[in-house]
Amino acid sequence: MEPTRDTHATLVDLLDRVLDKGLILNADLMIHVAGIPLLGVKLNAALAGMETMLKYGIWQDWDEAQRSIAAEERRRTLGLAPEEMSHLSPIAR
Amino acid sequence: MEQEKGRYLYGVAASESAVRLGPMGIEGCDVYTIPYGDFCAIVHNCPTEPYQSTDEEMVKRWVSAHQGVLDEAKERFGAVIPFGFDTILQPGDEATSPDQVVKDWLKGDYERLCSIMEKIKDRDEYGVQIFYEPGLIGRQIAEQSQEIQKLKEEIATKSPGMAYIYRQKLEKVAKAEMEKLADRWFKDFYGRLKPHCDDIVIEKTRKADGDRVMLLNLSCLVHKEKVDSLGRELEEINNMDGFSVHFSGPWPPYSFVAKAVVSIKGE
Repeated sequence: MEPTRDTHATLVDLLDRVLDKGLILNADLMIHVAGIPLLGVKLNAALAGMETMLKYGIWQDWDEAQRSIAAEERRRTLGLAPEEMSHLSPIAR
Repeated sequence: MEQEKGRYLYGVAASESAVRLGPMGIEGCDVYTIPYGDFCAIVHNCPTEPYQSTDEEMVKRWVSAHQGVLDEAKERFGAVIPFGFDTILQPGDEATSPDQVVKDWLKGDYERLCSIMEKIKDRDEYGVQIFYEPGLIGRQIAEQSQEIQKLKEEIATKSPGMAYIYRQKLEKVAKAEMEKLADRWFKDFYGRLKPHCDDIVIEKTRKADGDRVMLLNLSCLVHKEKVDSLGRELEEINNMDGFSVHFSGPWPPYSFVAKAVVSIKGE
């Protein structure tokens, strides 16, 4: 089986990656919108406007995501196993 | 240009060259590299504002351009550490030039970039999604489960009222069986794919189109020499009755470059 990059079939794969992932920078270097670094923010959230984002707490989600990354990183540093099997199949959840 | 104090970052490559890649960036912007040490940042000049639009087609074009630049950079320089969309650096004060900010950042983050580069060298990211057809699997479960067979036989002998209650029980048993199976498949498939991957990120499953359920959604970091063997493993799963596989890539290692960082200066 060959991997595909066919644009139609893999657009969602591309958007998932380009909009939600990639290297993260120190926040103070980034451009700020309304005092908040534009960093790890989903584009659709950016599209909805920063104010709406703040109002509905998307910023908090981002913060939580960062915390969970930090937590996992700490686990790793401490020599604990990452929780790789912690969320199993969709219906088992 | 005075208004273009921002530097839109596409990625970082292991190359010390300062080159122009041409007008291939978002909205045809000129893309070039800013080197520091053994690395260079791939950038274009922009205002210090994020790209924002409510026009979905435009967003798709931007995202495609972002990816296109990374493809070109990979072609030229080999491994590239990708940034997500809308990563824009700006100078903290008037005295610092925007290019200098990028250099300062490369310098400050040098060690981290080295370790990420080491991890992704000769590797690409692939998306793997495995789906199952609940209808077909459900029929298989019904044929194989003794409990279900027994319930079915009992239903035939019951009054219509009792049969209804038994059918509900039957549905519940079938659903539980399916969940138990899905759990087993997940572990089984994950275990089969793991030897072919250097790292795996388990992604949230999405709603699938048609009569399919997404069982697992993985981002896999795969060495270029293991792509074929991963493909063969996926082929086998794809050929199983009731299962199908979506295999996308190669992508820049978007899912494997974010973890190493949480530092926000000043903390």
